Amino acid sequence: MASTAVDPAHGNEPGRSQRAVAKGSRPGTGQLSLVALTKRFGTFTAVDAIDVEIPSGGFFSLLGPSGCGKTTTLRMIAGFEEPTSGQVLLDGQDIVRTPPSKRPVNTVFQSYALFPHLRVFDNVAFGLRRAGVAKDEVTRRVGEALELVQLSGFARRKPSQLSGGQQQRVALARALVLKPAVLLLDEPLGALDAKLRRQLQVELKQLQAQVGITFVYVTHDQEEALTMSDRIAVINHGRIEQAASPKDLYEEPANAFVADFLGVSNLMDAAVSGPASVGARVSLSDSFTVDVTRGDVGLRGPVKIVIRPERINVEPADSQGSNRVPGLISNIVYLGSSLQLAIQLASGHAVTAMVPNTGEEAASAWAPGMLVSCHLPPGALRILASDHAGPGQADPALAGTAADLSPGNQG
Amino acid sequence: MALLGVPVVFIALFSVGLRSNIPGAPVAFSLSNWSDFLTGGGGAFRGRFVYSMEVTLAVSVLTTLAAYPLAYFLSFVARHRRYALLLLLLAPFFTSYLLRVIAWQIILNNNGVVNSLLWDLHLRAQGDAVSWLIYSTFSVALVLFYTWVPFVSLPIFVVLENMDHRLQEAAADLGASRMETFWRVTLPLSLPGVIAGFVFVLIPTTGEFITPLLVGGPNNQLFGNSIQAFFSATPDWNYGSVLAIALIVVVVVLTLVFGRFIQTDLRAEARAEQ
Amino acid sequence: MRPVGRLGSTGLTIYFWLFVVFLFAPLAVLLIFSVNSSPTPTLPLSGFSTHWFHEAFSNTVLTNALVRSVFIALVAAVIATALGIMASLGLMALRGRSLSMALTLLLLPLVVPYICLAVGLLILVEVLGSGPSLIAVVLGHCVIVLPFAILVIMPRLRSLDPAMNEAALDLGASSFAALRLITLPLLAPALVSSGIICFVTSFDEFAIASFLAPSGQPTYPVFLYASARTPALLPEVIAVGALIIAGSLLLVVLAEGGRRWAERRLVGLTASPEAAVSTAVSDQQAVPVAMLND
Repeated sequence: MASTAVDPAHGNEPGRSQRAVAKGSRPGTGQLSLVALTKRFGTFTAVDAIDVEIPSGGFFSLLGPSGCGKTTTLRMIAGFEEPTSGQVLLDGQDIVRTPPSKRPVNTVFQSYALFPHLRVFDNVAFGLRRAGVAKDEVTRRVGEALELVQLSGFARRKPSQLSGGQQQRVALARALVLKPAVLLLDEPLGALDAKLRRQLQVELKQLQAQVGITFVYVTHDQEEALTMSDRIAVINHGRIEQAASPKDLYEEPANAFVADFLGVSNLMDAAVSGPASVGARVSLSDSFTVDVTRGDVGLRGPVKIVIRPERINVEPADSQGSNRVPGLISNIVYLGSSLQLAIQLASGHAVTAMVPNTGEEAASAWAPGMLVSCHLPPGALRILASDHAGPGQADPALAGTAADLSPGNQG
Repeated sequence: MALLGVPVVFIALFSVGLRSNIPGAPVAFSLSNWSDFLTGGGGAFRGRFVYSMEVTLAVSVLTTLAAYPLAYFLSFVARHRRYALLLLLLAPFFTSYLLRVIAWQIILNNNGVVNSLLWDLHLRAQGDAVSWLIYSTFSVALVLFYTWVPFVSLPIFVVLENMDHRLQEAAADLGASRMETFWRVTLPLSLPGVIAGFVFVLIPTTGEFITPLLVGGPNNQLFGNSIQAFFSATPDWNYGSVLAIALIVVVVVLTLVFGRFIQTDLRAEARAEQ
Repeated sequence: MRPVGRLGSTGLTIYFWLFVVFLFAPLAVLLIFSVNSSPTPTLPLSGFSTHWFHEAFSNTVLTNALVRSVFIALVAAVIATALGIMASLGLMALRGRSLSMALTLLLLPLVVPYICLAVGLLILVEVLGSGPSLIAVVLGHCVIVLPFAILVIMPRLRSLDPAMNEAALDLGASSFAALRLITLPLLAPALVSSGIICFVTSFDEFAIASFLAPSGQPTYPVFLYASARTPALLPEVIAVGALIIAGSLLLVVLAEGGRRWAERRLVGLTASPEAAVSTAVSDQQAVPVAMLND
């Protein structure tokens, strides 16, 4: 199990110089490429010609809603599903024909799949024994693996005597002890409570940096993916919407789906009326236009625009200046560290703005029913093509009402 | 996977092969035995067939009626110990069927427990046995009833268990009395289990022959006994095969008709995955 | 409002316990008369004696028949359990329609009356030229008993987390090693249940044995039947019968206790609690069917 058929001299090593010196790592291996990978179940296409490069030694996540095909993709990498077509290249070699027991790839399952009738030690030793490793060596390596996951004293216990978090660590140790080229993790933190999950996210990230093995992580939780990953592939209906670093995905979403999947996007229907001095001039409705400098500024006609909640500047109703739209606060949610304001804009759109909680004064500054002015900075707005489905339809009925309430029409 | 599928096919073929009776085999293909049984001189066997079916039906109905209160007791009254009590109910099954029938023979016999008890209590004259107690339709039916009731209560119990007990609370909430709740809510919902239990008795009993051998008189032999006779005492394998196939046909028909009510986890799962 | 009123409760309780008495009465009768000194089982009881047990066990025909039955039952149980494992594994790969069909085919012996199976087998062995033999009995029992093995093993197999087998493969085990080291140990309670059910069913089986056992070599039930019609042998029959009944009841208690203990040890192996409950009930369903389809 510890051997691989791949010659380390081949295959590219893009991130090698950036990787931390790792304990027991395998330099130059673990680079995965999925080439036109497709899986069909009868007439249903679960994975639709996915192309993605997963650099070696990093933490890569497959992110998407339930049923999008991310788990199927993972299982094809592991060898539990046979692709309908396409290739899985590990360090340049197609492993599609190799059975899972022979691939230098190991999996941490969603249910952990610990063998209940074996002790923790025997669980972790399982793969080593199958590979014929000598007894002393087995003991040594199991000890190391347990130490790595901070479970040194637990070797004699049975899985049923462990907590969820501990079981997960045993599953990790069991997979890592075999020093695979790639480690696959299928939503391993799903069964844990929020606090434990956050703690383990940090630990997993540190662990990955420590061992330097390529981690491919499947999750539907965008916060989790953003926290842990070096790169994320957002998957929807079996296709990759965008593969990029967390920052790029959040700040520069390629389309409405990605924008909306990662955090609150405030997706709005609008139309590009023409160019502006910088960027494009976009009309949110008949009476309101804004300048937008980011995204597909070359597009004309109906588009969607996005802005992140924390970038909306909520100002008093009489505030003047460009890129400002009047609005009415319909609801305030107190989140502790911030205030979430639901605002009905005069253009007919409903947006969510995030205002940091700077103390008593800030908390009492806003109230439902209050008129405000929303400043949407041009550099915070982004134009996206209107093809993909997404929320944010302007409601003409609301547009009229909100417009009546704008300061110019009062009285 | 293929290595494991082959035995599956093999076993199925094997079992099917063993059940292929060969009517009229060696000499010439002839339907004379069939016509004899169905229309001609085989009246005695037709009569016995009808008698068998009557007994089977009666026993099945009585058994199901008796089993329902047991299941109801387990599910609604004996809430906490119900599984243990269920086991108690089923325990006699795990003992030999033959022995239990023999036990009944001892009890019902002409100088058996019941009769000798009556004599000792001077309720009857010494030596005067109750005639209908043994070697009668009564004895055959009683033993069959005895054997099957606990088993029939099982599917009824399962259905009652799976039923959402809040439905009864809802009915009560809406003003129904206990009897009404039972008739209008519990009973209808438990019907699948009742039918399953009924079928569990009906189908195997059609082929029953051991009980009549031990506690039935010459007039109480069931259809299965006729088949048996043709293969042992007065061998006529051709005619016997005719009867055997007739029985199989009846059983297959019954199974097809009632089969959809027999819900094992496996069947339900299979359907759910379709 | 409880679903059963107090009057109903009492009524049902009385009915239940009366029925239990009714159920156990014949068994009690056998137990009582096994130690009754009179050669005829009739009231009043004539005195305590254990000499029927001595008589029974010095009757070599009886003891031979017992041994023969035990042997046949053991072989049939082992073969059927093994085939049951293979069949269950094979069935795992099927879904929907093909699964329904395969299941129907495999469970067919449950529905066919044993008398028909017995005569069918008799015809078959005659045609094949070998005639009645103990091997034919074993094979016949395997056919009858295999559905029970499947009914017990398959639900348990299905309730196992499939990721367990995948994990074994993922870690480098061959399919066979995964089966041997992971699946089979986890199936152990079901295998034991299957073994017991198959053994008990085969041991008590009369229909097939009566046709297929050679005339000088009866199985125990065949011998029992013959003896039941001979008043002279009745006390010995009762004596052995009492022992068998006591033994069977003990086995029930032990098996149930053992099953519960094993389940507690293997906590975490079922995919859902509903699966665990329904396997428990279907286990209990499988055994009685075995006993009655004689």
